[in-house]
Amino acid sequence: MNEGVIQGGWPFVWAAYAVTTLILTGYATSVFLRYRSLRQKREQVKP
Amino acid sequence: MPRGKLPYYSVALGALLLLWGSTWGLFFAPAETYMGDVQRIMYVHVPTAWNGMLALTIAFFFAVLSLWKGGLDWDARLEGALEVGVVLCTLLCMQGAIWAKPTWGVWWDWDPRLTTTAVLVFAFGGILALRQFVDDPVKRATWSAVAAIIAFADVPIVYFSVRWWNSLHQVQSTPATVSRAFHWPLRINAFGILFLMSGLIAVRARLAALRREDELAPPLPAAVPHGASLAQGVRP
Amino acid sequence: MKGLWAALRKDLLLQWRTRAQAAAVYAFGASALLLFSFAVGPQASLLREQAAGFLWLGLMLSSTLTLAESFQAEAEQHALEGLLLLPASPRALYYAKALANTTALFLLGTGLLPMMVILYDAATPRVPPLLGIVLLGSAGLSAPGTLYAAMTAQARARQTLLPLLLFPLVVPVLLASVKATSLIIHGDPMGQLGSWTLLLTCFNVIHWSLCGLLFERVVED
Repeated sequence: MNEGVIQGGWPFVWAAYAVTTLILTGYATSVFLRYRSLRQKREQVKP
Repeated sequence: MPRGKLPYYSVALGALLLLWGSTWGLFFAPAETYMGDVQRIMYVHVPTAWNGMLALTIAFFFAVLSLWKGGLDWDARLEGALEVGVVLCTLLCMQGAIWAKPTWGVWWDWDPRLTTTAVLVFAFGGILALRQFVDDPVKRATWSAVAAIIAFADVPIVYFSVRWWNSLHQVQSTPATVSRAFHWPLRINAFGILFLMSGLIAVRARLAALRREDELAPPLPAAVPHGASLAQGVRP
Repeated sequence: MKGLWAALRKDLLLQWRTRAQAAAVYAFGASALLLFSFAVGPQASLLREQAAGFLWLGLMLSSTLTLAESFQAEAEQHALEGLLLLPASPRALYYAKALANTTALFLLGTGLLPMMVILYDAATPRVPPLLGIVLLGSAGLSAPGTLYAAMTAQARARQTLLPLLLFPLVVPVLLASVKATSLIIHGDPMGQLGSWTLLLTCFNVIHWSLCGLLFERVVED
């Protein structure tokens, strides 16, 4: 098939998408969790 | 700082768009003539590049506003934009390395844009580090803004110097030339990361604002009797 | 203007009085150049080829010591607040300090040139252009360096913060100075020295103006 000059690039494609997914979801999760825990701490303290 | 749900919707929408665009790019777009399937990395790499630069540009504007208007709200937004920008640019460098290995045979080929991005990660990451070591919130805000402005002003000089430095040794690699057939997955992913990024900057800014409030007027422990006048605290 | 001259005299006097520390910084730079040769190996051709790179790396590493020291007196004696009470504007204080730092770095760089010639066999008859590049590079390091030195002198972990903040910013200075120095030493068949000098000049113009403008915000109370 017409696959281009560089053959067998799929592992790199998967690696790139995996890294992207991991970092974006990891960072988003960390931001949300940190925000939620700080919010909850303040709700507990407020009378 | 606002409290609405908009950033959450933005992040959710961004994630969905990314899923759609990536699926399209991975499984349904045709392979490229010269690069073959490796080219599919572009569907996340180019959108990350656009949005990473955008995040740092937004940080620059927040920095200017922070110095001009004062107050700590703009500083909280600056912290959000800085952190998201650094994360995206770090991701960009990783994607660039994964793309370069099969294409050029090396993990790093000193492409001017990627090299500039690496320098930016250190420059803006350094500002995030600076923030950890300054205890006075007002000084922290002023200094971060000053440093962000200087770092941003440096970007074109860094880019041109790296480009001239590299041009003597290597043919320019242009990973971002994408022909028309591949535009749609690219655009979808670009908007995906845009919404994701905007939502994350907003939430991260809220987090920074909350921390600042705690810093300036720490919440009293629950042992204080309800209705005591001390519970008012000192609010700016 | 009067404020600038007075402040400059003060800073140069300060540098003269702490010249023992300057000698120590020079020793640090010279030993760095020696260490680079040990790291790379005794091949004369390789050392000669990379001489410019080693020189500027040595100067850059030493500059963190010089720059950090330049605000030592102000930080220790709370002299910064005292200076700001004077009629001289913060901008004049910045330019005076930055000029004094440029002088210090220029002397340091010039002093390291003989080390470069001896260790790396990298002599050149074209001394004036070489000194010109050392001057432009020193100025390029001083402009943002002075501003960040003022900042980090007031923060914790200052020894780590100053290079962390400064080095990414001065990448263009490093690239351009190394390239220009290399072209002077090895010859410039394609006439590229002008472009690199222009880059250094642009960097200096941008940073001397921008950092001068922003310095006031860095030292205000």
